[in-house]
Amino acid sequence: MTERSHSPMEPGDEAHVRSPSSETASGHALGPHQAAGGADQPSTGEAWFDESWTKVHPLSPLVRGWVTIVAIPAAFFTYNWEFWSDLWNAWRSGELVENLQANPTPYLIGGGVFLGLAVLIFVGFTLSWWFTRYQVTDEHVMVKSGILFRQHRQARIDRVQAVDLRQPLLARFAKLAELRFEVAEGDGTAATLAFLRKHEAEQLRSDIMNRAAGRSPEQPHHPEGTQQYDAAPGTSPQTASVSTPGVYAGEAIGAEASGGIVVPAGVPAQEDVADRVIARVPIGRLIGSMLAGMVSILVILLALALLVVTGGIALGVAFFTDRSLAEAVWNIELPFFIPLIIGGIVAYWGQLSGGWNFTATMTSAGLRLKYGLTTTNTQTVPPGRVQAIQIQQGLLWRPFGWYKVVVTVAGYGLDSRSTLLPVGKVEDVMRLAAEMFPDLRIDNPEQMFTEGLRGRGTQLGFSEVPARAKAFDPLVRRRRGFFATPSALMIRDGRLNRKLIMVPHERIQSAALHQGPVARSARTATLNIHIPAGPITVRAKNQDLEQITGLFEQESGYAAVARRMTDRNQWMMPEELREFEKMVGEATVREPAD
Amino acid sequence: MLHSEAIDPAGVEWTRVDEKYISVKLITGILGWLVTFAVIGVPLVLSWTGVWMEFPLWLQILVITGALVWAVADIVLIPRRVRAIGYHERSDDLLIRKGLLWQQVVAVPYGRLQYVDIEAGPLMRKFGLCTVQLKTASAATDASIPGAVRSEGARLRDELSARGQARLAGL
Repeated sequence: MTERSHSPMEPGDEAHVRSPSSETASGHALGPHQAAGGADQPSTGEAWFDESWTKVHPLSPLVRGWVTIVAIPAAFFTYNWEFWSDLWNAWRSGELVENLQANPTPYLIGGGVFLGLAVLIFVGFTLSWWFTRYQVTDEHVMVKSGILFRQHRQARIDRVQAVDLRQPLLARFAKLAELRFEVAEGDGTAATLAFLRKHEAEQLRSDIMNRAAGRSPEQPHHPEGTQQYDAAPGTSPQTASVSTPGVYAGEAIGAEASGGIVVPAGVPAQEDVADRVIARVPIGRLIGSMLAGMVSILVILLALALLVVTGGIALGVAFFTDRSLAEAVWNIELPFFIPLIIGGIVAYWGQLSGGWNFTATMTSAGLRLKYGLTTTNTQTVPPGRVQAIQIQQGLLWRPFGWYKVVVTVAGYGLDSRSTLLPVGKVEDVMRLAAEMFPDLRIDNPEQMFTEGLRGRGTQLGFSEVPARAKAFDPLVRRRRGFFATPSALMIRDGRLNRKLIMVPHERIQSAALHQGPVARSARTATLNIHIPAGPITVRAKNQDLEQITGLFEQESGYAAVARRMTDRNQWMMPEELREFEKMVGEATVREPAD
Repeated sequence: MLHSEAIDPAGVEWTRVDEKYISVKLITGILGWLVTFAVIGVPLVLSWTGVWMEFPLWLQILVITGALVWAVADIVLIPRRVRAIGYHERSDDLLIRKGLLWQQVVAVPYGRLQYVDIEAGPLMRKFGLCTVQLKTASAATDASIPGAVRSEGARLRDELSARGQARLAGL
């Protein structure tokens, strides 16, 4: 973690020190509508929301629904374009005016319908804007939306796993941004604020990330690193406090009650000060990685298979009928190749837009990833939220020394957002892992790391599939193994497509040992480690029975210790970190790693 | 008591689920196989009644014999399979074991429990049994104790929830 320079906590700051598991909101710092404990109930009764709720930017429905606005008239016009061109010609020739004067009714109806539609869309947009409100308190982010079917979503700030900032194409022109909060308890995105002005969104994000990290936003971040990124352009607190009265007014009350949690007016936002760029993906490398990636291999293999099959058919057709070969190829092969080409383009496009201008920056709130071709995504992943990390390398990436880094963050699921680095050199990966992963607490972490990425056999302490179980894993036998450091479990696998998975012990939810009849006779077993849903499956397959049962015992022992320590919801709190180190230390003494 | 298998942690005395669960499993197992036989018996009936004779007889016999052998083995193994289900409350986690041929031991730390569910279908209710389902933040956690007596299920739920509350940890 980059920055631990905290000023001493204010005495009135106990709201952040309290146990995050205590469910009741203490209700300090909130407006009258939010008396103690009432935060969870949507205020049924007279008003769905009151003055303290902030509206999103008026352009939001437009930015969100522009496709409808463009698509409906476009469909309308293209569908009967002849009618419109006739109309145009009639107008030019003056015929239209005559017609209109002679018989105005159909034109009036048409115009009326058109106008009505426009008004309906406008009213719909306005209403949806009017009914979408949000409020940020010390404990929650709450969003209310919906005209008829109302929705109230709220996310507990100390449970926020990550905050993402998205800018679709049109939002970029309008300088707006969407904020998404991932919460551990919810499934999928818990709360979405769309859209805010970009600098407001950035301010709010750093605010919320600070609180989620257990740091009060007012603490100055000491500018120790060089500023690699332009700070939020034109962040003026005046505009912020004017345009988002709910947030800042609500917090101002809180400031008085709790001894100044909030940014005092006039202090410019100090985010982005201590940022360090961890990794960048040059466009050349991105394209190279795509060409040498899984998609290319798949496309080439499929194309070859198709070529053989359809080519044979085409040859046969050309041979037995009187059609020419070219014609046969054209007629038979093309229909098969078009889906392949489309699929390939879609897959490539996903990779390209997901890795375009990819920059990973370590900020005080966590790792900030910025990428995107048409839609600019900015997501912040706090190190304390990473459940597991996987470093993988496809066969064709090996000569270039490229690796991909994927993490499991609760709430991201299988989303492409769980990619921490689409393609990078081993130095990038090491830097990234050092920032995002707890210290391995061994003497030779780099050596172990490299061993996990490339090594085979048991030299450095990694296990392998025992020779007697060679029949299970003839190819990957010497790669498939694990190594438990005092703080994390490392699992490596794969001969052609190499991967290394690392899970901090305290992140393990549960563990299961599996053994089938054949494995029993070979005295091996498979250990499954359960972590929240995501792209990573943590599994040590076909390991020696004694070793793997030892690991099972050890992991459940670690889990037992891990749950007794303060959970790291507010992962930057110094006392939590201290407590954490202490507990891990005790665990290590109690159950020394083998 | 269960004898210890190779992957069981040392020194664990498994608590077995109720014997009545064998009856439940037998009933559901036999019903399931009856449905299966009804489906795969359709061609046989058709050729007997002379509606559809195309399906070769030897294939029918092969399929039905295969299914019959499988069904008998499945049903005969049910009591042993049920007796292979066991759980054990350790000081910090709950161990659940399952399986005869494909064995599985799962350890769920109390502090990781998100919630504990008790489920009971009509048949289970008739026998006074229930299934205790443990959920953690990981969807991969497949931890359930089927066939616990309902009082024991309620006790487990309260006990586990209490221990989970005491040792609640986040993700």
